[in-house]
Amino acid sequence: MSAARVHPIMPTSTHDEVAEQMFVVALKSFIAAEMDPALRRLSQEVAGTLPVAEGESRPSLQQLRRGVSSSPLYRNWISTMRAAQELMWQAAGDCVDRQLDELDHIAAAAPSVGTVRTNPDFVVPRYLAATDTHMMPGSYHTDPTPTDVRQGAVFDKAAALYSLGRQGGQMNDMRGHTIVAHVRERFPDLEVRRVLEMGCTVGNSLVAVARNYPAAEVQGIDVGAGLLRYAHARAALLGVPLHFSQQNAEETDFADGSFDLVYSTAVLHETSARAIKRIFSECHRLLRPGGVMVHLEVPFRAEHADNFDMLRADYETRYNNEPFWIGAVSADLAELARTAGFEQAAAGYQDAAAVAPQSGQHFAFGGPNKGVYRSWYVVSGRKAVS
Amino acid sequence: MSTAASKLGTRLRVQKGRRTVPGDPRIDTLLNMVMSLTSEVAVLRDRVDAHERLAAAGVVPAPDTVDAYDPDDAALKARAAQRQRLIAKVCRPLVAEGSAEAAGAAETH
Repeated sequence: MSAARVHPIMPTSTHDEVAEQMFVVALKSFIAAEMDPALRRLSQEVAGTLPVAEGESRPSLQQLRRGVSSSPLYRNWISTMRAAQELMWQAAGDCVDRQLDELDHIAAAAPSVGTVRTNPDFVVPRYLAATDTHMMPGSYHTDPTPTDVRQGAVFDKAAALYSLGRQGGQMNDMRGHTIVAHVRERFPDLEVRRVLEMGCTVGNSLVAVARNYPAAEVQGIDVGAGLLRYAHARAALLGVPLHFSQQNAEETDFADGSFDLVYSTAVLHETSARAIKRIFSECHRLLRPGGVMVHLEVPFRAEHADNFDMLRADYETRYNNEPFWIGAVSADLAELARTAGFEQAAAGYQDAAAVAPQSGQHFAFGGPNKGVYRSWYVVSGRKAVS
Repeated sequence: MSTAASKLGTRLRVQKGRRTVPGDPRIDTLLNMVMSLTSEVAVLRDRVDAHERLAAAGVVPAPDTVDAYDPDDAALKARAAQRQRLIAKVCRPLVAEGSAEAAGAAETH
């Protein structure tokens, strides 16, 4: 966490900024260790007094929410969770703003490796423009100037904090490694020459995936220009040639059959019921015959959730500005993939790969949920060969 | 403050679509303020720690020596324990309240 940079454009932290960031990590850990169990007990107790509809295993979320809504514990839990989240963004934002001129300079002087294409006329989809996603002020797409890298730097700094370093540390690349592990597990014969990541943010996963397929041409799209400027500089400074463009995953400007592999990580829950269908259709259009689509999601499914899990999902949806969280974790993703035309469509828990998978290493798909940062929920499918 | 940062304005300080927590919104505001204040106390504790460790090592604590201080593993461990103690102390009522509720004692208050 100290001054050592994992890559040259990662914002550095002063002595006091480190202290501020460590406080956020400690507060989030305290909530998980002390407040979550207390609310879990309360939610079970309240649920025991509520009617359960025939064929259901627990009361509806609406009833449960009503049952706990007057509880001081529930209200304080929401406030404390959100305070920790807001302190995280504030700490990352202040840290970046102190050194933004330097970061902009580093980005401008980055080697000419890969490309970035922004679009000043880009229209951010309504589901992303309506609220600031996961309480990040300005969200992915609001940049203070047309040339800076602020939102990307803030996102990169905060992302490692958010996961308490358990998603691949400061490189935050566990999800990319897990995509590779999943492809090897389900589609070992897939020849990967052209890759697209939808909603790539600062390229954490994309760098990991590109390093696994060193001969491939690798593209990443997202909605924020500052995010992509940072992503491009970050990858260039890491010596990885990636091509970024500011595009909507529902409707990209790539030609039909442009890719062998199209994927996303933790993006679907930030879209909408309509957008998921359009994104799956767009993936189908973009893949060559025999190409593969993979979407990695949070390791949480409504059908496997207990009462506390549902309150937690409700928190994400209502108070952490993830309006489609419950929608995504309730959707039948394999069926949506089949409807979009995919063959071999399947969804299930995928064992996480913390570091780059080695050849011969096995990461199970379709087994039990091993918990946060040990499993992800993944849907994948293949475009018919003929 | 950098060039772009000076152009931030409130748009990048306040979240769009921030929903109100059930109950009196002033409690949520107050809890937020307490957490921010506790964060400042945590920063101050670490700064005091740097002062003490520098002094013990015979280095004059000054703004630049404190800023440059890189805690070793023993210092990091002590700071983590101190931070946990601080958070547990400040948040104790939140958890105690929950324990009482979960035990069904809330109605007796």
